[in-house]
Amino acid sequence: MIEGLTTFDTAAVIAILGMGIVTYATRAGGFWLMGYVTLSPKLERFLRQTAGGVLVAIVVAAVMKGDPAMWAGLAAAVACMILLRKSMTAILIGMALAIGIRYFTGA
Amino acid sequence: MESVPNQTEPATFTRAGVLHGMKLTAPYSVSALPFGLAFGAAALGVGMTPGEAILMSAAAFAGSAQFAVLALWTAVPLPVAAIILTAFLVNARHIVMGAALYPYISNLPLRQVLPVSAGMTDAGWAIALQAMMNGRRDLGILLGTVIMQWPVWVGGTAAGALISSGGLDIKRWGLDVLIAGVFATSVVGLYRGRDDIWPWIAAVAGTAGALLWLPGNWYILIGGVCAGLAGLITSRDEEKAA
Repeated sequence: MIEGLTTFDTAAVIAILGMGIVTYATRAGGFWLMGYVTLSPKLERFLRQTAGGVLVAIVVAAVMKGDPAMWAGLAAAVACMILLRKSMTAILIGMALAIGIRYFTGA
Repeated sequence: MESVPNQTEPATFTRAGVLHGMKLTAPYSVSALPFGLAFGAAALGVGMTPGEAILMSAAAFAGSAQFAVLALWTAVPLPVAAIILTAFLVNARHIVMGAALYPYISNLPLRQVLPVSAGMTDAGWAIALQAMMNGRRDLGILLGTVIMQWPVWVGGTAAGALISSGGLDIKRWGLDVLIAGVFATSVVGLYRGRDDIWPWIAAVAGTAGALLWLPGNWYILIGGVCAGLAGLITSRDEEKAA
């Protein structure tokens, strides 16, 4: 069996269950709210863009904290994604490039 | 919500709908497997136990949010509030998605709709909405998408965790690039046109500022809020122009 399958950290479990609760709230929330009110176009516009903003924020943080291998890997992944439109392939190419750079530069 | 459905017949919740939803979801379900594997491996890379990784996939069942919190998981002590807030921000779009789907099934009781909505993914929502726009207003379709995706996501996570249970060096194996790459490619895939440009520029600026001048993980909240506000402002401009 997998080692650690029954190992749980209390803080981790709280975080995970918290994620589950807020995620359910967002999934059920739209259906539930619509039973009572309509979402204003402004709130809808705001909520639509927050996810994109969070994704962008994580990429920006990875770039600012990253090494040259990270930059090259991400650039390759984005370029492959634009050209091929296959995300997993693009990510694996970027990952392979970063592994290669780190291996040969000893970083 | 733009196209209000033709309410001539009430929506249903049938076994045939479930099977139809499962059939429509099969291709997505196969393509989700590598992401589940990647999540399992990356989760162990940042120090989660296999049990925690599997529990997260089972309880949250939210790919983007799960990858997003991996970026926070290495901190000691674990930033629990930041993790939960990040999951909310990444998933806030579901509120809009559910609201868009609701008019098609508004005659069904919430005690049926809300439990099914618990497993609604981006792909599942898109499949169900498309089917309903084409006239097949059956909540079973949404349930079918859940049945086809949840076991694959949880199973993929378990398999990924098993593969990497020896403990991987996250940088040496490029797992940090994998995690960031999931987001970089999803940003490319998310691009819907000109409307996204200003929110994203605002997110980049806000994030960079937060990373430079603020401690901790505020950059995630600030990136999301900056993009949301920029979306609000540009939408107001469009209304004025119209």
